Amino acid sequence: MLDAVRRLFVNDLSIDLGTANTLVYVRDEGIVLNEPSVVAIRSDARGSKKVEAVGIEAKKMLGRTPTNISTIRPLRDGVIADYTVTEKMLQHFIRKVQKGRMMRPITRVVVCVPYGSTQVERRAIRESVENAGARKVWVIEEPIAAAMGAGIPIGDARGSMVVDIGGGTSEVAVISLNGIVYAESVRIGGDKFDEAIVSYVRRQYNMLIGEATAERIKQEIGTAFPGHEVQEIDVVGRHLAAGVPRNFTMNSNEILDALQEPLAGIVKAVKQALERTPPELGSDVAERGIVLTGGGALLRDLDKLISEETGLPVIIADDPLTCVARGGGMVLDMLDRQGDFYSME
Amino acid sequence: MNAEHVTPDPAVHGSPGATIRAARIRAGLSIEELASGTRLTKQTLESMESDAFDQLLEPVYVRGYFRKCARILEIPEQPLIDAYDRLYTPPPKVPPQRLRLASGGDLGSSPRVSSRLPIFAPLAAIVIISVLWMVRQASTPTTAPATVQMIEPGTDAETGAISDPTILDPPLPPDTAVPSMSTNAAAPPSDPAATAAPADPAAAGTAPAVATIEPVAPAPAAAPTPVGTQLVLEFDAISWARVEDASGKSLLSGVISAGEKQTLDGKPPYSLFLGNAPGVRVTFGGQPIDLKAYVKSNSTARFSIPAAGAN
Repeated sequence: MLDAVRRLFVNDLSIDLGTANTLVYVRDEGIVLNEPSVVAIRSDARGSKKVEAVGIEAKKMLGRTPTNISTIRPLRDGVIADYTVTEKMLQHFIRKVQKGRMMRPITRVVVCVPYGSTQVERRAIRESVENAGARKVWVIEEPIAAAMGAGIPIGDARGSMVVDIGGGTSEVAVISLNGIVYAESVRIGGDKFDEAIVSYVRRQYNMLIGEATAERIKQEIGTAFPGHEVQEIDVVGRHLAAGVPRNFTMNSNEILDALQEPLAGIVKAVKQALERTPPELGSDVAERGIVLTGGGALLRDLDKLISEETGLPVIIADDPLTCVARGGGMVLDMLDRQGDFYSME
Repeated sequence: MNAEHVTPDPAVHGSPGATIRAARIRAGLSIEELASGTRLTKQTLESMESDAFDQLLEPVYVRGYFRKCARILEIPEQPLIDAYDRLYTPPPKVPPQRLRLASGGDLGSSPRVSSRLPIFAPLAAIVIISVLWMVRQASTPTTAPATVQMIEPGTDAETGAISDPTILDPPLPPDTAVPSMSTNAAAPPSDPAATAAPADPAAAGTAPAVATIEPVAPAPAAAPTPVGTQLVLEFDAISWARVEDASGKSLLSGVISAGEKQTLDGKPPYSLFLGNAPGVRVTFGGQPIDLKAYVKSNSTARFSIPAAGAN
């Protein structure tokens, strides 16, 4: 009964404010929004700006806009690059999630920040969410949320390693007893993979492709470890010398070659984490395995690569894209069960 | 080795462990070889093959282990996962007791806002609105004190019949109160006719209205109210008015209807603010005040009586 009344007035959200995608988990409902973190801004003749589109609609415009419209990705490397646009984007997403409610509820939000973000960057994220309409904001670190969302029992006195590969950053963390024992955040993620493909294509084919095309190539034939059947994809780009669009075909081995540098960065971070993990926890990790979360975990054979490089079992979490948002949702549930929401300690 | 070879076997149907064992044997792999390929321990694989899920870790890990085995043994992974989910019900997840916030502090320790607030906010709002309404209702008859003050000296002194002003007040509508009182009381101090033309300025300084009609009797009786500092406002039209005395005390504040008369007493100089100044006549110490100099284009007037430097 009390819960029903609470739901009428209070809306609890967990937001995974990612560089590539923003996910919103609504308490008691699950993931209700998963849209690209892209905003299209239209400027008029007098110089005033107005939001033209947000999310999926804005991403469709990416690289295809006239001069008076610019598409902006307000987050870079997991943190806010454009404060105002981030605020507008969050406002749009929160309104979208709360659409259809008779009255505007009190919004409480759990939002995740990269482990390696600075206090200033965390504050910016917190304030941005507050200004977007949240009455109360809790900020938690992404590795904790990712581990909770993946279903890892973080409260046990056992070490668990989680590698969350997002759009802008990759977080490697060893967690035990509800806390981070060691963590490292590297600014390598899906975006770096795309950039690596763009520069590979320019280097090898003398062709220019856009970020969206690079992302499509990565999703369709991208691989992190050799051995699978070779797949091919037809790509259209602009020939740098001729200046006209041309067709060409790429295969998965080329993409593997293109991704070597960012992949090596992630493997290095994982190895470094293992080196710095206390031996007891290290043996727990060796026995149980490393759990991969985040959109980057969907890159084919990335688990195999890390497994081969570290000699440890590597597991991809169920539905890795939504782990962080679901983990934030568990934090909301956890607070409620502990009576936190109903106390004035 | 593929799905066609494995799934039709009735012995292994429905058991993910048996499916893996059968596929491993068909592939000619020992359990050690599979352990080396999957990087899992031999004990883990044995537990998996015997469906001893209680001895294994949490579902997130076990599903991953099944996927790894399926990939190496080249069997479809989804039936294994489905069978595992069917056979094993994990214990309910226990949320962490405490969690360190990135923004500082621990979860569960110091909430800044209680969520009871939104639940009870509507109730609180209703209570507050009711109280405000009651207070407003109680304070609406704003003319009463002024009328009382006006008639008090005359009534007590002259007739002696009405000593309690509260008895006088209610039956008299504001617009008729003054004339009717002037018939009862010999000389109401605020009678417009009387105050408009004081016969003797010296007498007016003490009790102007009384002096013009009954020059002898009321002077000592009306002594408690210093008429010289009395401010009389007569409203020919509805107007908002605010009057404060020198001590900052608010003597009058509100919308006054046409035909009302307010007699105020305080410490001069008075500070007046009239919303519809052309519809108000002001008399101070028996002297009518010409408001023309104060009235602005929007009919408001803000001024002090006596004007600075007048006294």
